[in-house]
Amino acid sequence: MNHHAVLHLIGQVFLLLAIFLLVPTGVALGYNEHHAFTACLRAALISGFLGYGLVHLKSRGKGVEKRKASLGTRPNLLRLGASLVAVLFLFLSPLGDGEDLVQLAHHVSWLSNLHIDHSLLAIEFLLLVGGALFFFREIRYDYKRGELGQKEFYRREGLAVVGLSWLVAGLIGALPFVFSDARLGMTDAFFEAVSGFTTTGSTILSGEAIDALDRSITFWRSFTHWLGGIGIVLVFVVLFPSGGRSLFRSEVPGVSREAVRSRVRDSAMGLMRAYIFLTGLQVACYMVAGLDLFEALVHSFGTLATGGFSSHSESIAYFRSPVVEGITTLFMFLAGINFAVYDSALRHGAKRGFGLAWRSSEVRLYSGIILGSITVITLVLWFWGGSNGASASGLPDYSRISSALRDSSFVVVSVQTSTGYGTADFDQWPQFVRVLLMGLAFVGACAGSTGGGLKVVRFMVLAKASLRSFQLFARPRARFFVRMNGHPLDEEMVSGIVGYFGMWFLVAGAATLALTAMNIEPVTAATSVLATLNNIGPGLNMVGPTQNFGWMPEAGKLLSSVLMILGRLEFYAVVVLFLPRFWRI
Amino acid sequence: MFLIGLIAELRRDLREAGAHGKQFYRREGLATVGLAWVLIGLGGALPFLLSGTIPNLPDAIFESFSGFTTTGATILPAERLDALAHAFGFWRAFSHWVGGIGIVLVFVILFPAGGRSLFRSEVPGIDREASYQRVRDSAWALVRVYVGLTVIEVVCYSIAGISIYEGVIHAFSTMATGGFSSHSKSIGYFDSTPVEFITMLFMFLAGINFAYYDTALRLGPRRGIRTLMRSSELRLYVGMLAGSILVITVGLWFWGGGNGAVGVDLPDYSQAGRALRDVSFTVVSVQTCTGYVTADFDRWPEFARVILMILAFVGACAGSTGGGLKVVRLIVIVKASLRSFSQFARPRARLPLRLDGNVLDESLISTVIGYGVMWMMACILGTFLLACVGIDPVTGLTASLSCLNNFGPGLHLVGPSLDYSWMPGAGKLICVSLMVVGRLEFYALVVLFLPRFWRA
Repeated sequence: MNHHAVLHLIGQVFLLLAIFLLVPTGVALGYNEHHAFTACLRAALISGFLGYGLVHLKSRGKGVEKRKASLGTRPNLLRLGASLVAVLFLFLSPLGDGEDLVQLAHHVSWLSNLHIDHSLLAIEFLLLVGGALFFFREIRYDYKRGELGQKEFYRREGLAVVGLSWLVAGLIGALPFVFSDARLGMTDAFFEAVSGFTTTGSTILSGEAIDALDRSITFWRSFTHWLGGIGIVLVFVVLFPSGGRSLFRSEVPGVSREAVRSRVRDSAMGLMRAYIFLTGLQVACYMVAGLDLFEALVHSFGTLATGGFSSHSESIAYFRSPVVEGITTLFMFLAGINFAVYDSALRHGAKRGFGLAWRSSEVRLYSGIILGSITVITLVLWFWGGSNGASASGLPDYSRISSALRDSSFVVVSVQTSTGYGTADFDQWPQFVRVLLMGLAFVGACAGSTGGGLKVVRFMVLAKASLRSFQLFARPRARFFVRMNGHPLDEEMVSGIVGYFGMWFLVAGAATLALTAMNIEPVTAATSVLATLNNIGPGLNMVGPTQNFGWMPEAGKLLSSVLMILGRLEFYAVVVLFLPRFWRI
Repeated sequence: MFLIGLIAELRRDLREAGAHGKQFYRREGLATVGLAWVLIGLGGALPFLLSGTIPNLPDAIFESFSGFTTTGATILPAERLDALAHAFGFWRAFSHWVGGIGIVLVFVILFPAGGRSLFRSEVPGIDREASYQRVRDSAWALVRVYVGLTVIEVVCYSIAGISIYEGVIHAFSTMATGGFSSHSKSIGYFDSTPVEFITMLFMFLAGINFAYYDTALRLGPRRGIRTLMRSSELRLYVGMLAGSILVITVGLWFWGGGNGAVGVDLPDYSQAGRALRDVSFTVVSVQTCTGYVTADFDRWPEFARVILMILAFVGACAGSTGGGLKVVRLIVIVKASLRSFSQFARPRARLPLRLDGNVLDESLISTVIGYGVMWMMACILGTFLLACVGIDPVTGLTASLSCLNNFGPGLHLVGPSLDYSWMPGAGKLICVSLMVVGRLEFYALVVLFLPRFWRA
């Protein structure tokens, strides 16, 4: 295990986060939110310095021969130490009320005869640009010098980096929440940041708190979704295409031929392009429907990453517009499909892309489940709404089939893709519908998408393997293969997938037990475990769509945060971090 | 009415006799077992229907199947149960007893290979038993053990002061890990520590793999006990019992119990002795999926309720009369899950799984894990179907869990002090299906529905 490589990469992750943090800083600049500006800038600088220290761990300055440097020399503790001091200072200092900047602006404007607003703007702008330059320079440090390069970086190092990155992202991403006007405690802020980067969408903020957040903080919240979404797609399509994920690979024949031909970097670029393209498309649609740019961005981020954060406490229902809901539904559905399809469509044309999607049995089943559920729930709501007092708890009149269809299609797609946007309080719907929705949440979206859950393809394999085990029971000596899209699957892969289910149930069971030990009522406990582990967002009862996680005890919030990361990284990437054998040379 | 019951008994004997004839292979055995259980269950409803004790058809079917699958869930509300004629109380308990030995015979004798070879590789004595004569001898040995233990239990009960009739009923029910009683308050009626202790002991014994008793009889007690000690399934079974008893007792002791927060029926758990008594009985009753009740555990704190449901899910040892997923499968699932971490980190490594020294076949491991997942799916499907008839998730889930694992009571509306009488007919039939599916461990029932199975 090349420890230095891992540390170096984590350093780069810190720097990357710092760069990302500059974006909400810029937004704060644009909206004149000075406190938020300072909060985000502080967070960015903390992350940046930590990154700087880690990235330069092995460097010796300019006068050292390259040969010596690459032979595992002592780490450069001086730079690391200096960085840590800077970080500590930034963290603990009383700076950051925005007041200091204003004071500085006073001095500057006195010196230069500029209006105070302008000088404030100028100062902030300079800080922003300075930070950006610094971070960009440091993040490219390694590549230019080629000290570590591509050698000695294998699967284990990649796994370690992935697991640690999400933890680091959660910690750093929490900082803006901690420093800003919202003044969240570390546990709450961590929960919110993790919920962002894992594209879960559960929140500890109450309705009023969400509405009262600074715009740049709201932006950061949704931006973490967007980043988390593409992060996951890259990890599970590019980094780990074999082993646990080669199922995806063998499933989409276009990609496996492509992986042979093109480099890993090309696939990554292609996926990012697809993601950005879809985001742009959705923003455009939203703006045509009448949303302003900020709202369009926030909700597109939330949709494509299948996250669920909104700038409003009523979520998408705020807009009261079937058009907006329709756009959101469409893009949620699209985000739940394997992104390699979009990559292929952009490269080779739409026809080839659609052909790929259509041929995949996973996509067909995914669409089928969604259409089927929408049909069933619409009919049930229609019957139910017509008869008794469904209009009691603020629900619309479902005896009109159009409103039943509108709400059911949105909720079904939202839950199945594990997005978590809400238009109707489905916790008030009939029992059978609630249970069905939790079942959909359990299944999840397609593999290789930003959606959560256990993934449709795993269910298909499980079903086929179960059917097969019946046949084996009747005739133990026969040999049956589980086939997917015509290809027979490797036994190990099948048992790996079945084992994944076992793992899921073990973790979910233990977590539910732990939550009930904190005196949380069983349905709430079970559905909050489901919601966090499958990165959906809302559950039922006390964590239902109109509620939040704010009431939970601290331990419960921490547990939920851990579950979110476990679920997003599909367990292994996180758990291996705790096995000593993993870290050995 | 009794005659009808006897006829049902004879039918079963005929099946046993036919089972040892020629041209009778695995598939025929499977078909017979599946069909037999269904037919016997339906037949057993006749006494209730014809006598007017339980005039409602779904109710009678429910009660009968609950008997033969040794579940122990009842649709008789307290007054009717307490007023039930002796003959029917006997019939209920007798159906438990018959069901219990039936299951042991099926899963120790008929299907020792394939889905059960996990069990087989564990007990080397059975492994060498290939010939027909040996199979018959083993069958007889198990019947003798079963009857013997029942008799010993009746004797213990009469020493403790219970009438013969009551003793027989409760012994039948205990050995089959069923849970029917002649009283609506179940064992709690007697309010006697010795009685609870006897019941607990025999429930525990009934939850052990009966093949060990067979080994002990054939090869001597010393050898039997040694094989017993070496079995990791048994060790985990005992460990789970001891651990849960400890955790819940301490939890209840802190919680206090009769401190007015939860109403009148709970005793004062701030006395550790009382807590220990109730908890140990309940834990053993739950883990072996018997379903006897001395305390209304639905009123215990959340964590205790959830632990109990998990214990009910895991169940007793394979090859016993107990229900549940079976401890040995849990062991395999946990080991395989832990192994999958090492596999993910190092995909090319070969890491075989061992159980009691034997290496397990990969396809067997997949089957066991798959089985566990199917079990969970069945619970979830049951919850869903019950929700379709309007039953809330907690009741639905615990009712499905309880029927699938042949336990008896659940939580909430099917809690230990309540019954299943309020359920709509469709819900009762769903529960019945789950009971049978769980008792026959899925395959024997489901294969009946696969066309490929019936082909020549």
